[in-house]
Amino acid sequence: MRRYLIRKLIFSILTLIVATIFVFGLSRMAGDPLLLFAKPGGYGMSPERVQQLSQKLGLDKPLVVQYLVWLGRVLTGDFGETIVSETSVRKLIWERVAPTMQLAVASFILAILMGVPLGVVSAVKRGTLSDYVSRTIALIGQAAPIFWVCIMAILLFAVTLDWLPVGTAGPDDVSFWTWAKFKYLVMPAFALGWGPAAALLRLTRSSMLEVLDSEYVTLARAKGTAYRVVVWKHAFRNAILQPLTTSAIILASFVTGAVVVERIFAWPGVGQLMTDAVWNNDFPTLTSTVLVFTAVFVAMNFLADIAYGILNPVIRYD
Amino acid sequence: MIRLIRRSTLTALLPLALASTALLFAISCGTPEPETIIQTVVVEKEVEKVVEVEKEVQVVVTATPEAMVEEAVELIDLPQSKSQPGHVIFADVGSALGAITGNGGSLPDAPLGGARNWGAGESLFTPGEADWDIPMLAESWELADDLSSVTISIRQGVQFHNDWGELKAEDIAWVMNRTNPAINPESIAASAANLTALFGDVPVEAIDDYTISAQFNNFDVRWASNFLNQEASGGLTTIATSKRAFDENGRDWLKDNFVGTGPFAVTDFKSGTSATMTKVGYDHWRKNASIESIRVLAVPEEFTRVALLQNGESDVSFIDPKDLARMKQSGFLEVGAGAGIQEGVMFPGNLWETTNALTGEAIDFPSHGVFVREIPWVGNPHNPEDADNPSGIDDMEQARLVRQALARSVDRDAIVEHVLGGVGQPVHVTYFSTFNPNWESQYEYPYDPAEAGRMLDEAGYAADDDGTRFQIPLFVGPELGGGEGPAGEIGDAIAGFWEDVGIRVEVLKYAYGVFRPGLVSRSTVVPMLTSCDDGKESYPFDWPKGLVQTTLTRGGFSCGFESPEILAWYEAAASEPDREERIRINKEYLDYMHNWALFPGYVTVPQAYYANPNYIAEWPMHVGNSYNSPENLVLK
Amino acid sequence: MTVEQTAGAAAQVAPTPQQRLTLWYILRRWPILPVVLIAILVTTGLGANWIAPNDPIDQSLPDRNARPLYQDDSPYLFGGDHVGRDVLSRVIHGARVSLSVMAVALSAGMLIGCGLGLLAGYAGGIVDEIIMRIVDIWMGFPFLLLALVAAIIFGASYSTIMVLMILVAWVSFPRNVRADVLVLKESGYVALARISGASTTRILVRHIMPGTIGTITVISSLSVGNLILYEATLSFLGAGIPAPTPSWGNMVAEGRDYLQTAWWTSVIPGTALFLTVMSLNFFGDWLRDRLDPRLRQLG
Repeated sequence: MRRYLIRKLIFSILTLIVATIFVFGLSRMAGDPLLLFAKPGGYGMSPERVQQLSQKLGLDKPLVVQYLVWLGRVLTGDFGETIVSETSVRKLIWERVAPTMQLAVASFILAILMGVPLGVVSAVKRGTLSDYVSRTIALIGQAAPIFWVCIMAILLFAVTLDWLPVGTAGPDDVSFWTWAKFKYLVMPAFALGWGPAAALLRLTRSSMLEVLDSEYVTLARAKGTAYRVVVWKHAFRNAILQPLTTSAIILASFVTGAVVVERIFAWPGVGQLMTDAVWNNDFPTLTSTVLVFTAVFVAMNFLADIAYGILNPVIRYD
Repeated sequence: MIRLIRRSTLTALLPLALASTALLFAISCGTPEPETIIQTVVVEKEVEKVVEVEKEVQVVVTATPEAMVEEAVELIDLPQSKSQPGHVIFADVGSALGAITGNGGSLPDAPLGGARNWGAGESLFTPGEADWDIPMLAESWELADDLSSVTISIRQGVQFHNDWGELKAEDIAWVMNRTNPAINPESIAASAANLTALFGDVPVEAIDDYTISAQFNNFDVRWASNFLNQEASGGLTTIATSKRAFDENGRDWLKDNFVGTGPFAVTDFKSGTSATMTKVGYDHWRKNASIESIRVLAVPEEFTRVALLQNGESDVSFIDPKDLARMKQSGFLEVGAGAGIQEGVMFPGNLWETTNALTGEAIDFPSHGVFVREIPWVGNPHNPEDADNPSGIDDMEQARLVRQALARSVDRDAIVEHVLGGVGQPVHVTYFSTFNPNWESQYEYPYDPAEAGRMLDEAGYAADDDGTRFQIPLFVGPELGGGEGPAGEIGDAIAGFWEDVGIRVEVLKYAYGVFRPGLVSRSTVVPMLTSCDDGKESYPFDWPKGLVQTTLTRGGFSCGFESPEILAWYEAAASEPDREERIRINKEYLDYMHNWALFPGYVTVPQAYYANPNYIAEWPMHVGNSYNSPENLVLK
Repeated sequence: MTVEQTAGAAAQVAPTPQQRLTLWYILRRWPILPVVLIAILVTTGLGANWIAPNDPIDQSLPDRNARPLYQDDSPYLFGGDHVGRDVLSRVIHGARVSLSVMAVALSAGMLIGCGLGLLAGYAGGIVDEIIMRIVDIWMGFPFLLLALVAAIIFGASYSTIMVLMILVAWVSFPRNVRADVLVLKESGYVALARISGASTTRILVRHIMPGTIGTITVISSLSVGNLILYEATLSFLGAGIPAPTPSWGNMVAEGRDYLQTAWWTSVIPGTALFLTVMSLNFFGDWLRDRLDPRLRQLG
């Protein structure tokens, strides 16, 4: 178990490193970084200023050194300053992390609460109406572009029915745990959770079916164990492993989704910060947000690996 | 799915580590060494005449729709505002217009851009009913007879927010010096280079508590109406802030905290998402706001901004032209400073100057990238006889015909009527409003696809078998929300008209930040849909034109083309105190631009905001970009 | 609708001959609707130039947002878009653009992915280790973010999108192909071939590759849907196939602001996209159960 975890940990770190290399490399391939740093709308910079900036960014050193310097700073929590305003990127990200985490956690819980039980029901009641209904819901969630789902939800639930607010994160001076604030989270969380819920449903369903077909479930039933016990104690415990292993794919859709959902709902999270950074070519912000996203993603993946290790008694860790 | 590994983990990792190193190496080899080419902009021109500077009475052009297109629009019930009484929620386009980017403080060399729109920051001058240089924090001024210096008296009794005391001359002088990169190299204010051009490296001095004195390095007649004004063209203005706050708390503190003099104080700021301005607790010198607070939210999607307004969640929303007619017909209230943005297509790559006006050095053209290939819309005066010119036509004339054809093949009226829903108006040469009394119809590009086709034939670009003449990219600039906003639609429409005359177009809607380096390094040839800084409908006819179309801004932003004639006209106009003479100079410039079609305009688009009439009674503003003066806002 | 019915055949009661003939049974057992839809898509895509009633990039500003079904003098069956282009023709040509992007991206991705899978499975050892670790890292990486950065930096063009699609597409293949190879290479006939002196290339091409075709088909059909959605998301973020070339993704994204005034500009390409992805998913599910029930876990 320990070796398994260490291995997973090392891979997680490697993923992060590769991600940083990718992002760093891409941003430098676009051309002279100093030109990217010159402000839009301004008429230019003084040569001293350029000199100063290039020293600060370490542009006079070889690229490998630049990268390592940058990486070293990031590891100590120094993400640098934005180009547009020379604001601390760490501060910016810090302001945005909480809303993104609220959104991610809420939609993750929703995805599990929707996907797993519906998947079980759909497998156990295979071929019935509830099976078809839940699978249709799942397929719609997987076949419609996420921005489309968001817009439709706003049109229906906000503009037409006026049940929920259109967007933004709501007033700042209200506690998160009141409806006045919480209602702002409902639509974005559902929009973001639908795709992953659908994926979970399909996975849970097919692995439940497989387990239900297996010999030992047949055996258990033959021994006279109650069907409910067979389903939940034998089949479900085994079936849930597969969705867990595929959580990487599910989580990946969270990251993509967050960028889109935050933009449409004007949700003040890291995703919006990232799109803003892309549009402004704000290299420090961009690399840092991609890094944060990747880190969150890799960490969650690692947690899923641990969960898998704990849940699966037959796994050989070595 | 867990794989079984028998070997030690390290062995497995080694190749990967090697691969990453190799990748890193490859990247480092593939990128050229950065080259420093950014230089200071110094506008070199001696002023000789001793005359009082005249100014043009401003022509205010609001882009209010005259006639709305009749369209089946679903009338919706106007919503009740969900805001708390006295508080206003404002959904703005956000960072796309630069409204909420940046830090939340008033540090002069990295100032909060939106502060002047939000009634929080004030400058020396402001546009008024008729003139652009109405004193704001300034009370009066005196220009030296030889236009070499100016003495400005500062208004007395103006208070800073949060008990930072009274505004003094030394605060103003400090702000201006700190913004000027020739004095403070750290400055990244968008208006920075303007101040360098104006004052050089001589600091502005505070003579006494309420008087400052400044030496002009290069006089520009727009010094008060634009450079030190609440509505500056290049970017921000010099917003008054407290030197004492800086001395006591330092640079970083002032970056996060706004100390201004406006009727509103910035009480909460989250970069890129929201800002809250609260009415100051004392009697403001100018005007006391009638609302308690205004909260500006960055909402990037047009669809969401409309929905917020329809749902009563925002009281004012920025609205794209495509939804204007609908909002108006639904009964929403139009507000906004009324200035239209002129969208034209500039043709980068036409670098016609041979010496750098800043340094006097010769420009090395043979090695310059833009002339390496034959580009239909780029004329090469340095080597006019290339292989693909039709007989009797040199490369300059060939490219001129192409640009003229591109200007004449677009039906501007149809874009105004159908795409903009009747708002806005056609523009033919960017920087010049067709409503201005000095405008003459001879400068128009009539819609004439047949003539355009003839010109293209003459230029040697006959249509091939499937009707194609050549390919052209079109980048949609950052104004008006860029490719995602109304500019994107206009770009699509222009592309469609060009396609009609056999030119294949690729509309590029990616980020401006990607496009900008090519402009700064003078290496791009991709046409761009933009207003290029001064394409504002409300800017007077007599203002010097074309600073960013010369080598004076080498190392910085430009329109991508440079011409020695434009340089001469700009320098003449900037130092010309006589308004009639400036108009004469600008007419020469206009005639030149019309003939060479370097920057044909297409349409002027209003920056429009709509408000919830159940909540907001009126919001008068002074003319300018986007919006301003929330202290004038009156609730129902 | 036949997703797992067939796979769990052992648990099912065999249908009576009468049941076999009912429409419901046929529709459940055979993926008729998805196949028909996919066939329509492919035909319209290939024959776009002949089928489309109008030029997809020919604009006519007076017909901006013209209503569908020729209402109010509209010249178009499915209405006009924001510069008065024919939505129907654009959807048809969009099918072609989407198809060609998908075809190229998928075949290149398949080539790379399967090649690596074969190599990893057959060579084993350190090669296997390296390839599989790259796959792990690739899968564990939020690729849209990188794609966005790349599309913005290199400019959103047809070729950029294509490369990005390939980068996403290849990674679904190696893992499952490798698993197949591991099984096949221990099988009797491969051992026999090896003993009889067949070269490695011959063994790979003649004996092992045919055994992986089922797996590859299933993964391909399930990937196409994802790639189409991926292009739509890139378009939404302003990094998709550039205008005026129509793709379903950029049509849906361009039309989103007109949903309250001209729903058809977005809903019609959206429906096409949705039906296609749905059909591909159904078809992929069905294939999977038919060809290789082991692949159930492919989401």
